[in-house]
Formats: sequence, C-alpha cells, structure tokens
Amino acid sequence: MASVALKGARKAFPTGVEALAGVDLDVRDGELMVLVGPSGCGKTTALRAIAGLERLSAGRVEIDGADVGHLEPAERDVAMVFQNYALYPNMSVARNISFGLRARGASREEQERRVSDIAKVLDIEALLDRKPRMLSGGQRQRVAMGRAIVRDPRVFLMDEPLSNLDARLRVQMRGEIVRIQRELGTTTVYVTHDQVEAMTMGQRVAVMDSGRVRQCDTPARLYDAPADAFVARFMGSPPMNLLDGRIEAVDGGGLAAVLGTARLPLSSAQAAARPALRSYAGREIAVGVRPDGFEIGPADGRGDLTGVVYLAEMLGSEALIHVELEHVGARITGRFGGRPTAAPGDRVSVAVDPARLDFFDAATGIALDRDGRG
Amino acid sequence: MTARPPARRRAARVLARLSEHAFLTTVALICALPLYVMLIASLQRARDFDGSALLPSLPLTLDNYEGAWSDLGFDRMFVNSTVLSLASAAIATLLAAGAAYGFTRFRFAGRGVLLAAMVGMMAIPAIVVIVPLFVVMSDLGLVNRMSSAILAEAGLLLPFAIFLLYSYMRDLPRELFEAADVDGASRWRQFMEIALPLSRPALATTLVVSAIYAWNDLLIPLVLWQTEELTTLMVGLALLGPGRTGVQDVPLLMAGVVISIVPLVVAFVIARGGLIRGLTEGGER
Repeated sequence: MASVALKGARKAFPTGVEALAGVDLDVRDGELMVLVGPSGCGKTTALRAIAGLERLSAGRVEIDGADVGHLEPAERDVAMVFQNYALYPNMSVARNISFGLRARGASREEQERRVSDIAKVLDIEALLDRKPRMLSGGQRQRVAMGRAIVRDPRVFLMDEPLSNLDARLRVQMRGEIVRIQRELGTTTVYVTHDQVEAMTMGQRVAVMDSGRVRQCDTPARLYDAPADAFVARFMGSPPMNLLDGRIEAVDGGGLAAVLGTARLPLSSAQAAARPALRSYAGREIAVGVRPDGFEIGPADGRGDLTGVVYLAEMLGSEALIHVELEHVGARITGRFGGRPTAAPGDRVSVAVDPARLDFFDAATGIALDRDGRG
Repeated sequence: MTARPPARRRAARVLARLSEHAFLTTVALICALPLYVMLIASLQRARDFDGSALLPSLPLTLDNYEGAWSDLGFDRMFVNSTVLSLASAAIATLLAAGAAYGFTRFRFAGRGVLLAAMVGMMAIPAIVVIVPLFVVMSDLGLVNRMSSAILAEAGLLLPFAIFLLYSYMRDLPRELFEAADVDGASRWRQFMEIALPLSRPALATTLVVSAIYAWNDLLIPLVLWQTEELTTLMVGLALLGPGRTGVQDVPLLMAGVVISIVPLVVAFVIARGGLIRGLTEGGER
C-alpha cells in the first residue's frame, strides 16, 4: 500500500493538445480516489501518467513520497485494469491472471497457489481453463481484476473498467470492486466519466475538466458545496439547474436573490453563511437549484415563479418534470417522488426554497459560498 | 410514381443474377482454359499431340509424368524446390516478425526513414541486384552451396514479409502491450507470448506467400545453384526446351509444369481461409 501524488502535472502531446494543465492530486494510503470528468478532461492521461504509460511534460508523480517519474511501468509496482480489459486472447484465464507473476519470476507453485486464491475471491474458479472469448463481459471484468490483484501491487489503477457492462451488471460490479478494495485496503485510483459511479464508489472524488482538477472532495461535499458551476452541473443527475439572476440588498440589511420577477429573500443566517454574497449586491449572478430544491403547484399557487411544463418523465418511483420558466427565460428540471403531477402544456407555479440555493460568479463560475453548508 | 408489380421486379432480379453469373462463369472459363489445355496435353503421347485440339486424343497416358519425374530428374528438383521455398520463407518470416515487432513497439531515431526504405526495397527487382549478389556469394565461397540461394531468396523476400507483418502487428490492440508493460513483462516476453501468437494468421500468410514466390523463382537458383544436384523445378522446366532434347516435347513439358504447380495448389487450398484473413485483416481492424 502506498500514497500517490501528482504535483503540478502537465502533459502536452505533440499534436499540441494539453491533456494535463497542472494537476495536483493527493491520494491517501488505502484510499479509493475517483477521477471523474467529461471525455477529454485528462483523467485517463493522469492515470496513465501514474502507471508510467505516459511521461509528464512537467511536474512529478510520487508514490509513497518518492518521485517515480523516471521509472518504467514495471518498476512502479502498480497494477492497471483497462477499459477493454486487455486480456491476452491467446491465453487461458489462469495464464492471464498469472502472467504478471510469470514475468516477475514467481515459481510455478506460487503461481498456482495465488491464481487459485484469487479465483476463489472473485468466484471464477470454474473459468480458469477458458479463453477470454468464451467469457461474458462481467466474467472478463473479473479476470481483469484478478490479473491486477494477484500481484499484490502497491496501487490499483482502473480506467473505466465498468463502461463496457450493461446497467445491471455495472451496479453489481460497482459493489464488488468497492468490497474488494476495502478488503485489500490497496490504494486505488479509479477513472470514470459516470458521476453516479464516482459518487457511489469514491471515498473522495476529483472532478476534472480541461486538464485541471476542479474540486477534490468527498461525494457529499461535492454535491452539497460544489466549488464551481462546472462541478455543480457535473455532479448529480439530473444536473443542477443554473439560472441567470441578481443579488439585491433589501431593507433591514438583508439580501434577496432575484430570478425574473421573483424575489427570494435570504434569511440573515443564510446571508451570514455566505459572506462573499454581500459584495455581489446589485450584480448579475448564476443561481443554482438542485432538481429536488423546489416544488411545483397549480399556476395560482404560492410559487415564486411561473412556467409551462414541456416534458414530464415517469421513472417509476419518481418523476422528472421539465418547466419552461416565464420571465427568467430558462428551463428548469425538477425531481419529485411518485408519479408526475403535471402534464406537458400545464401552466404551473414553481416554489423555490431559498435555503437550497447555490450562488456562482456569473463570469468565472466560482461558487460564492465556499465555506459550505454540507 | 407507381411501383412495378412484384412479379416483374422478381423477373428483373433473376435476370440480373443470371447475367452476373454468366459473366463470372465466362471469366472463370477463360482463366481455366490454359490449365485445361496443359492438363490434357500432359496426358497425351508426344506423337498424338495436336496443339490446336481442345479435346484429348485417346489413349491417355501417364508416361509423361513418369518420364519427367524419373528420367529428367524432377524428383530431385522437387526436393530442391521444396527446400529452397520452405527454408527461405521460414527465415524471411521469422526475421520479418522480429523486425515488424520492432517497428511497431519501439520508438527510435530514424524509424520512419527505415520503414520507408524497407517499403522502397520492395520495388527493387531481383535482376538489379543479381550481379552484386553473385559476386558477394562467390567471395564468400557459397556459390553452388545450398545456403546461397536460400539466404539470397530470404533476403529478397524480407521487405515484403516485414511490410505484411508490420501492417498486421501495428493493429494489434496497444492495451495488450501496455498491460504487459505494467505487469512487468520484458519486450522479449511480449514478443514471444503476445505478439507472435496473436499474429498467427499473418505469419501463416507471410509464410505461404513467400514460399510460393520462392518456389516460382527462376533467377536466384539459376545463378547461384549451377550444379545438376541443386537444380530446382523452375530451372529444370526452363531447361526443358528443344535445346536439350532436340525437339520440343510439349506433353513432357506440360507434365513437368503440372508437377510443379501441384504443391502450390495444395498450399493454397490448405491456407485459403487464413490467407485471405491475413491479407485483409491488417487494414481493417
């Protein structure tokens, strides 16, 4: 086991693409750290840099505090699970798993013992003589895990290992990977573009965009106190609604968020928790509302805003209702328990809970309440 | 626009298929005609042979085969041709596999130039290098030794073999080698345990195509193997003209040609599936 760090990591490819634009990341000993972000954000490059499959243009890769930038992948004592598993198609499952042991000169007895132990852990004992093409996606995934685990490396690196599985299997394997990681206690860096995977698996999650880490925190903090509008939009499904608004000072020293024709007064406690907000009085601002941060009702109800439903989606235990807001000129998506209470074309009122609002600088997207409420 | 009735549409389809088949059958017959003429000629006695007849005159005989095989020494030539084609193809394929792996997996200065030079060498005909090749072999004292033609043939086959295997290996999934890198496997182990086994279709194709080329080659064995013991089938056939026997014995010559192409047909039939896969796979995956 070991800690892993990227310090000022930069990687520019000969094509001119800058995949990493100064990444700082600290993965603690035994931690499961998830790197999440959209395609091309640099998460896989960061992982490959840790593995030694990419050389950094600048910055350091450290394992257990030691600079490993000059070491070959084999010398870093890491194991990697690839997106497409990268199982050797010409070898049986057993030989696939023991490949790394053979390459490192383990005795035949040790290979057999370790492969058998791992097969028990992963429940693939019956598959040991098969070739990869005879396995299902889930079984291949397990074999790829086995190949990583068997060497007992200091660090596991996983590059979107579940993205080729169907939805049901993905949920199952998600739990399996977390269970195995907890049991072994091996430091793990896990890359995914799926924010649900990131939220459910990561002890901490680093959200990446354009070659930078936007925020690295626990899943709960990422959801409750996003560092910027990108993180706010990326984490959570459906994403946070971002509306153009304004902050205004009201009589008695309070503040109010103005959305279209609606004025949402903030309590003095709320205003005090967001000291930066006062300096934005009179300025444009981006206001964030989570899909579960408001309610809808009849058009003549107590809502602050009005709008017209343009889509209502039934998801089983909950419903998504998409509303075109009047006066604000934006669409907002809400998540509600049970069946949809409104149909497309209905005119509705939208009641926003001011306590559930997030505020972001309109130009930079930086959150204005970074002291957090989580 | 009104649709054509189904019956007419079907008739048009059948007609199109028929004309397609008629065209292909005609082309196939034209291609097969020389083979047919060769085969019936080889089964006739010299005095019965009529070059313009499409049907054989009876009786048919296998005497020409016996004559070619024993009297003209085709048995020995057959062995020589087999040794030359198999040995040179094996050497070329083996060396090309290593070179192709190097080109795909190693990044080194001058790699692009080397690759381009190698492709360029495919365009150099053997006739251009035959004189210097003979001089070198002569200096080495290898002329009229088995190794000379085998080495020369392998050398001439090498650029094509490297090109074919490089095209294939380049498209093997990169992650397999990266996984092996992380697993701590040496480049040699990756070559032996991953690259070679996964390139089996391309290796088979290279081996068969090279062997066929070497089998059919006249120039190299003619120049470097100048003794009777080292005559190959192609050289033997070339010498089987009127210059040697006084008259042109066409049925005997045709029997010799049939003997010389039988191994090629057998090799092609055995390797057919893998051959086509190997030739097309590199570019498509």
